[in-house]
Amino acid sequence: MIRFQHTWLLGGVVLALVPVILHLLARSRSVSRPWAAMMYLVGEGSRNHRLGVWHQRTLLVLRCTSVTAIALFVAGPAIPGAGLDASSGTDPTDAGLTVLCVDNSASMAASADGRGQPDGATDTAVGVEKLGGVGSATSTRFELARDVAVRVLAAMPTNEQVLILPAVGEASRAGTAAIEWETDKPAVAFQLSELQLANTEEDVAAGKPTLVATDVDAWLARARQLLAERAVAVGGRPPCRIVLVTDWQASGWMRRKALLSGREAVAASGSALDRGLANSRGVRVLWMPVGTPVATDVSLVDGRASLDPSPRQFGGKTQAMITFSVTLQNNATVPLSDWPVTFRAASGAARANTPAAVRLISLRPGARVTFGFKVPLDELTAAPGQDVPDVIAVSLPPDGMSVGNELTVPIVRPDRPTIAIVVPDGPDTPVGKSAGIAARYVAAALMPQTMADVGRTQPAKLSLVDPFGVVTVGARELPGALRGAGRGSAGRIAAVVVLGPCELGDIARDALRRFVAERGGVIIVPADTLAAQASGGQTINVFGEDWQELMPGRYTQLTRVAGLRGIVGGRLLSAVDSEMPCFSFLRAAQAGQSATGLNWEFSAVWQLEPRPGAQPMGTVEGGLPLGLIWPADPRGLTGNVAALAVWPGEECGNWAEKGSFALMMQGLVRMVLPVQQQAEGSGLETVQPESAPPDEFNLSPLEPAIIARLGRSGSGDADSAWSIVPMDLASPTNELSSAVRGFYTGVPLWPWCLFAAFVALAAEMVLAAWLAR
Amino acid sequence: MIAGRLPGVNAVERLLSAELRGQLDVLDLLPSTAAAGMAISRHSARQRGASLHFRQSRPYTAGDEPRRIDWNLLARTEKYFVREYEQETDRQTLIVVDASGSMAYGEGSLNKLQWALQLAAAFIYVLSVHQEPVGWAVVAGRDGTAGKGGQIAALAPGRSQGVLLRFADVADGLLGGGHVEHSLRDVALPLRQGTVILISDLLFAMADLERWMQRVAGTGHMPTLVRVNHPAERQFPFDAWAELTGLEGEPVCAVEGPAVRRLYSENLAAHERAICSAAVRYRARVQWNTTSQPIIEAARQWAGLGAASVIDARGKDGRV
Repeated sequence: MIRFQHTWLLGGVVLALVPVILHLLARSRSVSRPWAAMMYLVGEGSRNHRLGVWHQRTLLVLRCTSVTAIALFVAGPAIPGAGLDASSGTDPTDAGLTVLCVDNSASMAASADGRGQPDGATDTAVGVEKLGGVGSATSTRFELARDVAVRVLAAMPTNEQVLILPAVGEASRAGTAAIEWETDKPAVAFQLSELQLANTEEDVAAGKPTLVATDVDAWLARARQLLAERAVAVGGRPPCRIVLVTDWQASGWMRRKALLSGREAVAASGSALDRGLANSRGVRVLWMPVGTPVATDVSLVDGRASLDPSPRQFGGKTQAMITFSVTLQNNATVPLSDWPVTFRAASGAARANTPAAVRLISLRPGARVTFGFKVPLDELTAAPGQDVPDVIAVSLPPDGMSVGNELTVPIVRPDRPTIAIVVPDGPDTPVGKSAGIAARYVAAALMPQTMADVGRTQPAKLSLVDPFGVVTVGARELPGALRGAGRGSAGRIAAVVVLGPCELGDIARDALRRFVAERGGVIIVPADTLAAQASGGQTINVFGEDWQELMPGRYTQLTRVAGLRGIVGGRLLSAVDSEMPCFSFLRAAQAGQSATGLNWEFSAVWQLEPRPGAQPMGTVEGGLPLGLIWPADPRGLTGNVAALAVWPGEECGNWAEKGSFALMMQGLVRMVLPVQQQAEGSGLETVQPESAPPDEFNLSPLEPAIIARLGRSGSGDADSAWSIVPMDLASPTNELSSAVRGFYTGVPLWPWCLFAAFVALAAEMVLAAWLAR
Repeated sequence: MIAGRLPGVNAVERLLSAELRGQLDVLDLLPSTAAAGMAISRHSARQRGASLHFRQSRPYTAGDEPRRIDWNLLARTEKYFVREYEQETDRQTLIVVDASGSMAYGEGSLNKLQWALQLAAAFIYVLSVHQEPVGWAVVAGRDGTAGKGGQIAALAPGRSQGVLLRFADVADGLLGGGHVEHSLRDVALPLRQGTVILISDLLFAMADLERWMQRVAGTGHMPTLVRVNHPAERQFPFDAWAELTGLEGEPVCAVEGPAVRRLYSENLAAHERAICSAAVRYRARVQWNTTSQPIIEAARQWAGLGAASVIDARGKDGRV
């Protein structure tokens, strides 16, 4: 719809009737006269006469056109920008609200030119310097996007209120004296000037690409929410706009077609603010894709990062295994060797990692392939010692892709027990630290692949990389941890190691009882000799048959309270004798007998004997008693794994003994969950290289099609609140700025009117002169 | 000379005033090459010798051949006279006047039909004065009338003064109209070879004109076209819109003068070029006149072309 600066001057259009009126008047004044030489007008000359009539009519049309064009020129016509609501008569000079959406997803860390990829370590190290060098040869997409954002801000009307909304993270405020969005959102510095300079580390933190893929729904919903809130705060009906500066690499763009209609997102949220926004002028969107123009037919439609429970040694580093699922779309056969999978870890590193087996694979259209590759564990954590993130961003291929190739993949943790170590005195005590080391070591012992490495691996290595979610909590924190409200991964606690159960209060014991009853967990209760003696019990006789009578009274009490039926205890001797009676079940398990055939009513209790000649450690004397308390029916264990713990003490350096003990406990675990591990990771199909189809390559310009689709979805619907102004970022700066200004202020048409008037007048003069010659 | 002696003298007076007749009396007709066997040159007359009869002696004028000087009169009067001879030939002249509807255009003295009738009368008068056999025919369209005779009024060639009187009688109160293309075909041509003069605006199809010229030339006659136009027909003087009504039943045509003038002029020129081409093809003579011209001027122009059957006796032997 065309808008006029001076609408009342449109009345000048009626002047176009003047030539017509003059023509009609002249016709009306004509008199009838006899004429002899009619043959020169009709008959043989009729063709020329008709031609002359058409000349006259053309002349009349030109006169009317010239007058009309002049009248339109005076009225100042213009096509309103896509950022204006044409139906509501928004004045281009009205102050509006703009949410500048800058994509900071993982794919934005790719190089802007689509060739190669920045080295992750270098990218992280020199991130600050690179942020200052926008447009450099080694710039990333995010840097390019930020450059575009700066230019967009510069091209906006001065009274526009702007809020910068990254795809991942909170909105931030961009403001100068003229541009300011007064919002109390938990914004961090993303100021306009700092955007340009990017000298501070805060900017880097706020502006660097994240690990997460673009969540289109959340992103746009958040933008709309912010606009709605601001619109209510400002009052009136300010025009709302969303400027998207993003690459095409988001699966949501293709799969969430409903979002492209704009209204869908508003309706989906259903909030009162959004409804109000939908009923108002709606939101105009300026789409500024950052990325390479070539799109592929490959799409990561599903991703699953399955963390292999066994840290293995590859290249001198402990690595995990991640498995992905890839599905081809459209009719394409794509050799993956050209497009390796990339993931971006918490450290910011970009790693293209395609196993050799996958490199040889070509995928048929519609084929679904699953493949895995190794990832160093330390690259999965933001810093050494930190927990593994819950999600990881994966893209395929890393560069040159367009749509649907970035995915936020949740990291599926191994279905292993998360062991909660309950230390009555807290995790920071020497006992707690020692227990943590022991628990992790025992957890590592649960993995058969690791057993060979146990004797060679320094335990500190494992302690630093903890993929198993061992948490150490105090006695007071235990109930909350068991309810899932605890910190870290305590919500998925499958086993509890209780150090000093005698110190547990009633609340903790009740929590333990409910935990076992509801989820079938295992409580591992180390005991100490002194505590047992103090409780009136006797020293556990490993070789005796009356173990229950020898149990400390408080342990028995705990058993009753927790509703547990058995206790396995023992004493780690300097030399484990597998022929001991307490290991009979272990021998049975190793012999292949079913774990359920064991008589768990007869549990073993053994005492860990210290090494001969070893000095007693603290209050621990005469070894480290250990107890395992199982539920009455071990077959009720579903998904959770029995676990155990050893508390060798800080001075215990005999890792061979520990290894032997771990071997023993491994047998216990296998008995309890004989099939659990085999079920893991199933359902994925691996395409072997031998079955690969011929290499065919099909690159299609997907991006224009997407733009056209977006344009169709936004056109012709007054309420769609979604208009697309695709931008070519390869265009010069002035073109980009003019496009942005056009989005906000529209395209003036008065020059064209002037030109049309000039052309019409010139044509009229030429025709008149030709007729009069 | 004629008036007062024959019936219809008043009609002749209305056509040819005394002044005009006086001017026509002294009009000198050049020998017609056509009369000398359809030759082009005015000096190519074949008839000479004994068949020549003395007509008169007239004062010598520059250009006369010295051998034609009447030496006897020179001796008696000491003035130069040349002897003129006339020869009675079998050449006849037929004057055809177009009385179609288009000829009715023009007011007063500029009326094309009246002007054409005057010119025809002048021709008849001159030829009669020179004792040339002359006839006439007035043709009108089927929906018009050429006097009492209907569509065609005609009189066979003769030398009597009644030819002019009868013509004047027909021309008096003549009502033309309609198309003459078909009437022209019905005009009887002289039996002997001669000249057929068509006085018309020629505003009809060239095919009909050529067909008529072909008929005339095919019977051994020499066609002569005297085109009569009103001055307005050549200028197309309309400066605004005008609804033009055809005089021959054409549909009304609303035109804007300045816009159509150029096209009109082009069509007019093209038509005249076609007339000239046809005249060359059939060895016809063409004379262009407008009604604004005096009759005597047109008559002189015709005489300059050469009256059809009038031959100057250039000498006793007829040699030129």
